[in-house]
Amino acid sequence: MRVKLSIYRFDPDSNKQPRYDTFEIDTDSGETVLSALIKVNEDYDSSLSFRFACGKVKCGECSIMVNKTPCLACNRKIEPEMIIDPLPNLPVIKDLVIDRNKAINKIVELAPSLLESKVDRTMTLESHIIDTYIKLTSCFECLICQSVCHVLKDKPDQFIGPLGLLWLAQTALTDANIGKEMRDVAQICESCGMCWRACPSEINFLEDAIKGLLSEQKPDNNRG
Amino acid sequence: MKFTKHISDILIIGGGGAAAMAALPPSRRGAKVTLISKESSFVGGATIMAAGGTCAVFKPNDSFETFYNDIMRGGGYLNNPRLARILAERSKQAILKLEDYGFFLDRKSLDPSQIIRKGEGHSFPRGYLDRREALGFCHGLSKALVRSRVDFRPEIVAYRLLSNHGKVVGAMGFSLVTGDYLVFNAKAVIMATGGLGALYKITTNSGTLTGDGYAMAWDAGTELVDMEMVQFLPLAFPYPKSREGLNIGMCSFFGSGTKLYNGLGERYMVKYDPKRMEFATRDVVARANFTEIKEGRGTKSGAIVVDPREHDPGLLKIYKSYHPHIYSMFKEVFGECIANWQEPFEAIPSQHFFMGGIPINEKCETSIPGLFAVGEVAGGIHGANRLSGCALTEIFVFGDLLGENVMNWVEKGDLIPPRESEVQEAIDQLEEIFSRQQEGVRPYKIKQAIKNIMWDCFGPSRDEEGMKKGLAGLKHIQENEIPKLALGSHQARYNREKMETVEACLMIKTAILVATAALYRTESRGSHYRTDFPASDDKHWLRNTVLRKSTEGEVDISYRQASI
Repeated sequence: MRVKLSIYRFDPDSNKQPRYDTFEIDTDSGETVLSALIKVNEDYDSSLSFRFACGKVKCGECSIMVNKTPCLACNRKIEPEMIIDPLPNLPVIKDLVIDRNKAINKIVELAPSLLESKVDRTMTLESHIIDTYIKLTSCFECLICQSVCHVLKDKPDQFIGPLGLLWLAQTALTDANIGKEMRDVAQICESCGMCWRACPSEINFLEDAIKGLLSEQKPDNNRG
Repeated sequence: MKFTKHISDILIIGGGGAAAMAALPPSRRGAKVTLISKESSFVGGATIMAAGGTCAVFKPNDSFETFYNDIMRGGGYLNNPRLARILAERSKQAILKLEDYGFFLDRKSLDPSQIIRKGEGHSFPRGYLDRREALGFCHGLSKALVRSRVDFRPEIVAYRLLSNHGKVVGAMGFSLVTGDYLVFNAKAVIMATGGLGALYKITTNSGTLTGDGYAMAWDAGTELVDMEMVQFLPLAFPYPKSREGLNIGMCSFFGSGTKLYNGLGERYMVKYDPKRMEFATRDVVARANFTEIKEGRGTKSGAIVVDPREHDPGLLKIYKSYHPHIYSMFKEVFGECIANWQEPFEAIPSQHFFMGGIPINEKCETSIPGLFAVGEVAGGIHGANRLSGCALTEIFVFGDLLGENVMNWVEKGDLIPPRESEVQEAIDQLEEIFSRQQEGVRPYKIKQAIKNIMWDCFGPSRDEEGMKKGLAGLKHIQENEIPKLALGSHQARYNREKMETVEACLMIKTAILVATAALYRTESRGSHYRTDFPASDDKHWLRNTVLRKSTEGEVDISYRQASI
């Protein structure tokens, strides 16, 4: 199958402006965008930078934009014509590689208490709490949710974004005493559902994370 | 060449669960722990790929002794018995202790009544399953690393261990993001680089598992043991290319009615293990599948056929709840009907785990002071074959054990700087390769050539002729291709080919060591099977192969009596 890829290119060391390079390659239909990028790198332009590790939908490192929708490159089938961009609204290191570290550190910086954990093995948990917890922690940390959040785009220095809310919801699930100010953070979310629709792990941010944060109901668990 | 130097109490090299487990206890006790990984994830490596269970003594009628005996029998009695005992005895406590790092396990599955699947070689059901597969561990440990203030540095490629006064005192590498050379200096260095799946064309592992740690430890002067012991799984996805090798499991995954057929429609397991048929141990089935395909009795796409129609409905339910990734891959590759086990499908064997490696003692110390090893890179625990569900158990048990012990070393140790000449030599070596301007051999070509040779000649079924040819091929690459390595492009920033260059240079060393050990063992045991020596020979070979670098830098091979 003949595939045409227009790929975003930007090296802050040598480019003033980003550009798009176009490549036409032959590849098996049914292959993934990641395989196509590897082929471009091997056969056409070895200077193209993109990130991946497992290549098989486990690690979440290869998140990019294909035809303006975010996805894991290893989980997206090739199409005859594709425009490939880095995830939007996140700092770019080079070409398709975004600065994951910076994005995650930003959440920690805005809400350091997010990292406090009151979990230990002496706690007992209701079965429905553990079910929700399992859903909330099935996260690849691919940062797609952060990249599609328009509230985060508008308020990058006030809002922790969907991933931050996901962490917060995990804490709130098992800690009834979570501070009011933390629940207020969730109020900034406009519940548009973009993060949920884009999540490759199909985490229902609205139902499982944000709704719980916004409700006043205390989780029914106890320590002992 | 300029470099930046970083000093810490403990340097950990590796990006999987073993590295994280070893990092947490000392960091919580106030040590400065620097963790460097080739990957971007806090916890990735082989850990994040794990799909199966985590085995421990959960059942009331099970015992440490029974688990220990199973581990030893599975390992063909080549295991270091002291390490195998630790694995069995600490299995349950290590898993339960994970929750003290601030995350929950899948609690319902911890109930002994829920531990129901009995893996091949286990006397009791032992596998804890998690609905997030291994993502739950990775996710929880990642956050614990941040919380415990571990100095995590992603996308750093380590190339060389550094030593001084007979001790390992750090490592040299470079940043994938900036291209800058980095020197890490520490009182203790922990090798946690994982296995060598990426030495094989077909593997269940991430492509990052290039076995860097074996070659780096070898260069630093450690011995390596049992380097011929490579584990293969019987069933993996055969296509498309992007899913090739991804783990499906074993026949027991589907239930006792599962049948295997070759391309001629024959139930071939009758030739390999007429008694146990499809439910022989996974090394036997992997070898049978490999042989059928290799000898031309595979399907048109070079696979064998699995018929899961007489599956166990209970297992279908477990698979759908506890193996969401395998389920979604089934749907993607084969469609809904096969994903529900209603039709036969094609599969191939795949490399999965490596039992050999850097020998360690009960404190995870290696033979060089200052150097520790943990996880798949360490050798000796599993002997000639690992039981299913014990890889995660290993990293939890030994990661924790090392993390607790390493503080004793750090507290009494001094920080010794690396020898400057050694640092400069390592940097000059890499810089010379990186700056080659002529058209040479691109690193990915070398990696591909190694993977093909390893799969064809050092796979699930081996013989002298094939292995000699394979070793000659590897030596040809080392002598004629590696010196011609050259990058396709020279930009400093995020140049993946630089990482691949380091991988290729280290992979060829490790591959030659595996090949040398495989040729040396003239019998079949555990995962090492030779068609020219198909039987086990306890009289001569109840012992471990040991590789050592001679004073001339040659590979010396000998054996050491396994202690049972």
